[in-house]
Amino acid sequence: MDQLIDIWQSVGTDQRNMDKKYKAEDLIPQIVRLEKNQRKVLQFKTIGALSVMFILLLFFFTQFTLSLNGIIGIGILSTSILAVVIILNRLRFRISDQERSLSMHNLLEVTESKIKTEQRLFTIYLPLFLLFVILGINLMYVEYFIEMETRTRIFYHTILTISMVVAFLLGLSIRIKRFRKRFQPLLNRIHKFKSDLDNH
Amino acid sequence: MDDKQEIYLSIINEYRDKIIRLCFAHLDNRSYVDDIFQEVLLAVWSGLERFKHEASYGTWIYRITVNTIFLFNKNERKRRIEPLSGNFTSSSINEFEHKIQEEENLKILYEAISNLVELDRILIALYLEKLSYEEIGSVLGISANHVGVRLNRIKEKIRKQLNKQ
Repeated sequence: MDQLIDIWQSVGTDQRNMDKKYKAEDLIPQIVRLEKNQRKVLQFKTIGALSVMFILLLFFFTQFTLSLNGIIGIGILSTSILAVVIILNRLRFRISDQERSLSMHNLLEVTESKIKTEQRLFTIYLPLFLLFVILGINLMYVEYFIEMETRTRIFYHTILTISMVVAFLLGLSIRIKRFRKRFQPLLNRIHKFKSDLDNH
Repeated sequence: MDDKQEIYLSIINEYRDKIIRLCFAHLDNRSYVDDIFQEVLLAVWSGLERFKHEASYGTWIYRITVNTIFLFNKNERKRRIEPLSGNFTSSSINEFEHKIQEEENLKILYEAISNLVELDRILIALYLEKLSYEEIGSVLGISANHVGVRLNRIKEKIRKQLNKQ
């Protein structure tokens, strides 16, 4: 085994010319620039989300009669959009640099739990969001359809609801596909690794 | 140059070879070594200010490296930085491969390691880096005893493989 250690360690000493190509010095300015860019992207995203919210609210207040139902509908809709944006952002799967320096056993636990939290998006948060959106939009349209016959109103509300459900299911199926592609292989590796770690 | 940069450079210069060797031991496709190495550098830079000296720099770097290797997803390159100067290009990979081929023993060792399961590849790579069982246990989050038992089995497997060659 000592001989193997020597063979192993020869890489990097014998290959020092190659390793010199990994100059840490050259990376510092790039890393600093990258960090600045990441901060800018975050600021840009926040400003973008707030602007979209503002435009939506402006649209709702100018297009719809400001009845009690309409105001409640707009309130429910904007609150649920805001909530889902915050939840999506907070639950987004990412391993921080601090978590990256955990022991591997702990990192596997953290990663698995994060993936399961991400899974909860599909089973809890997004269906709940759909319910609130359906409620909010239907409330907003109550006044809009008020002059129509009851059957026509029911028809329009049903169409609204069905189209939202269909759009939601389409979006959800894309997200689930992406999730399976991205996380299922990782989850399988985590389970295999954990079982190897636990078996002496 | 500030303190952070100085510490960063001294750590990276000390551990660069070790990080690269760990990557080579674990990856089937060696062209990803460059990506992983950069991810490790980024994580070290970002984590340096929060480093609490509860473990040695070595253990900390090894943890970051093995975790980065494990989590590496070739389809996700969000934090990509520009290629390093004097790049690790395909020609230098070939050059490196060529040198490895010259070292027949090293090639055989890599082959033997590549036949092991993922955890064992990491374990043997850390062992070959001369880490103690306690240090390996601290990197992986298992007991030194567990490391010892597992390593004995791995050594036996490698011995058998090398004897076959």
